[in-house]
Amino acid sequence: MTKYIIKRLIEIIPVVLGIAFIIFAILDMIPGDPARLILGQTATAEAVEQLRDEMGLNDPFITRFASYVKDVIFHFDFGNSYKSGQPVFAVILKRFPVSFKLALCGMIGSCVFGIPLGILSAVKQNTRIDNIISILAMTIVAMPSFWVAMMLVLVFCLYLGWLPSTGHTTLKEFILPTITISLANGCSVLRITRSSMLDVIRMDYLKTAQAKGVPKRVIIWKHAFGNALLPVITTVGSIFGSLLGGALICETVFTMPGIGSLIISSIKSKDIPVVMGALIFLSACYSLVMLAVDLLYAVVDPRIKAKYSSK
Amino acid sequence: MKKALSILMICVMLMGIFAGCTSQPAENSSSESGENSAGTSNEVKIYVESAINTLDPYQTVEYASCYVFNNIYETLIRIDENGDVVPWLAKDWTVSEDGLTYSFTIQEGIKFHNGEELKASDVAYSLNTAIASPAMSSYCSMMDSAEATGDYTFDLKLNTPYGALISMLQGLYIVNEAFYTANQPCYDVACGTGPYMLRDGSVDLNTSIIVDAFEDYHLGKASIETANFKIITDASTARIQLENGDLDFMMCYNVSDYQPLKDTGNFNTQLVQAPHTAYIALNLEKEPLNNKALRQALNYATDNESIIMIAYDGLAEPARALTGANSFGVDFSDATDYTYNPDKAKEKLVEAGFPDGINFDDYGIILEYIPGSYHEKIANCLKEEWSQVGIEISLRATESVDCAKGEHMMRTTGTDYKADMSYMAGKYASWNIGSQNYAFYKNDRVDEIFRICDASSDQAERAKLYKELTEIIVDDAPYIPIQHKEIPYVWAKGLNAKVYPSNECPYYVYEWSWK
Repeated sequence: MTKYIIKRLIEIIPVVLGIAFIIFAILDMIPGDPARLILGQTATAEAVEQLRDEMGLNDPFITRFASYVKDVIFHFDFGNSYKSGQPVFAVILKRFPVSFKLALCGMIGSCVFGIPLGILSAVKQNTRIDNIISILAMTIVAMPSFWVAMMLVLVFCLYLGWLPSTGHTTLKEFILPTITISLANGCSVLRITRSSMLDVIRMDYLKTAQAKGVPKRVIIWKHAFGNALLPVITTVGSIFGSLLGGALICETVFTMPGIGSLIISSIKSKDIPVVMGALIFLSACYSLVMLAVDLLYAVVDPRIKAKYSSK
Repeated sequence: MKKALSILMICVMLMGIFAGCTSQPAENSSSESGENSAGTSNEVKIYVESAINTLDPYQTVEYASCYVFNNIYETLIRIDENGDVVPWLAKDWTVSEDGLTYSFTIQEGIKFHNGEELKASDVAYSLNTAIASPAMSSYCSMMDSAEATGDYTFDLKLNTPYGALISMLQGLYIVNEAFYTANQPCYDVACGTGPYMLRDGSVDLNTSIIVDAFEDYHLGKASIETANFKIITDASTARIQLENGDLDFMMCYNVSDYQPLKDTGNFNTQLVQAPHTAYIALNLEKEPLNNKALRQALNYATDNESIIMIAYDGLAEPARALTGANSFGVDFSDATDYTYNPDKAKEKLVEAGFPDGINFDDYGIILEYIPGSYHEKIANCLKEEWSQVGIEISLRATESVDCAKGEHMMRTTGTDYKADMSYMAGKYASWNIGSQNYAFYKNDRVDEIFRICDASSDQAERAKLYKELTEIIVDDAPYIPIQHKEIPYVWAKGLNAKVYPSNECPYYVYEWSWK
């Protein structure tokens, strides 16, 4: 098992390097001069040229990429933000806790919303309850997140005054963003739970359990859901991974300074070191989350555990 | 047993994470309740529309940072609402005969937030730092160096005479030399002489910056104890916060919010003409935009009034050049008047050699705009208006284009202007091709007038020459000026606030009070 984990961790390195290369190339192709953007529209041409020289922007692409990778690997230095001069890694670390909490709340919310309804929908397949849940899920999926977020703010902040509309410190401030994320992502969890439960629910061993008089609750939650869990874990894992950097709408509407809004504002201001650093950081996080998902497989399924142990 | 243990551990981890979620509020809520118990009269919450990148006044000229700078730092002079220069940290100044040395005397007894007294050496250090900073090059390109000649006197040397120098000093904030050198990089700390000082540990450049009244401020302590600059990147959220009472003062980033907020009757409102011009940058190096009659035809075919109604809710004034009529030296009395006139536009098209109209697609010329802003609406209006006189053009949304390098063909954009016409050299003088002169416009007489006026301090002569200049640049039409926008401000009924027609210095919290 340990060997497997180490092997997977080593595999992350070329993946992240590949991603870094692609991002570096894309950012290099975007029109606009970073030196001009840093100095503003009114700067003189000489000042811009001087800064380009200082920043090494006149070097060939490969030289710049190599020196970037060297700094990252040997000095753990992602460079400094063009805009503020702050070290990029410090900027990311400051933002990451907000994104992490938001992603965690969103993931838990999605499970709480999606899993029970998915199971219910599968158990009551082709009944009125199943139809109602399916229509509900489709309606929610069709609602754009920014609209849901604005409606929640209007109702709970402006009209009722129960919850704050911005902030990222108290649990109360996380409620509306969590609902927004959970509604959007909970539906995918719901659908995947429903379909994988339906695959399992017709299996013979469940009929045997029923015949033996095992209580229905145990059959559904332990025997059926236990075996239907693998696709659900994959979905929930990828939701968590993508929420780390992709909860942009929540971050914007609820003014939460997370990684998503950092990336967008940095792309707009062409703050390349921050964009690079944040995306590399996120790709590493995503790879780790996916590793965690694979390890969770082993926890829920002894057959997979046995396979890992033999590797 | 093993399973129970792992469940227990997961629970502990989750609790830990949420303890992390709630431990901060404990400190925070105490500060919040502290503010609330102090009563709303002591705090004002101000909307800032974009993240503040740095609190180092020599690393940025962005407005969002300036809102905070204006309250913690001060400058040698200020410009009042009539556009006149008012001595501030500077007491008086003299100019040498060759116009290359300005000798200043500064006020005595002014204290920095760290208790030190303001000395000429701090001012000289601040100016030299600004001169050396690439970010400040637009303010300082004419300056050579500053040197303290006594405790309260210093000389500012220029590398070329510059008639409008004093008004440029409004953008240069004075810092404490010892503090600034000891705390590099200064992106989240500050020490100035302004009426407010940063609250320790309050700075989060992404969410809020809190400043408290400075006890030893030289004009007396501010009436409002605390100002909280709240950074909210979503304008709709900001509006809800204002209506909720979580904000006290807001610049309406969405102009369409202005009228509904005004109609509620719950707020004070004011429209302020901003020294800003929205315009179309034409690249004169591209065929056929080098054809003057064609550019004039485009100007005649542009209905500024209706664009303003559609793109900016009527909250703007039509522009006749890239600078407003209130800037020194601008006189439109004898300049060509491009008021919307389709017949005249058609005549000019004939003169330009396009009697049957023109389709810019044939020349590969596209009108580019910044998506999602009022520029997009401007571009759409232009397409419609121009097609009525036989000028066809395609539109394209582009996020960032380097106009300085001529990557554009025709693009909606905007520029600020300042109290003196000399600032417009950036847009019209040929030596700024490659930086601000997006049109790649070159006219020898225009260059000559800018040079003479920069070197002259005879205001009557400058005014006369600038009038001639205005006529030339309007007639040559290297750009298509659209509008000077008005900035709508909305604030709480109980707040006495004052706003200025300036982009960098729209307000000073020191002048405000609660009723």
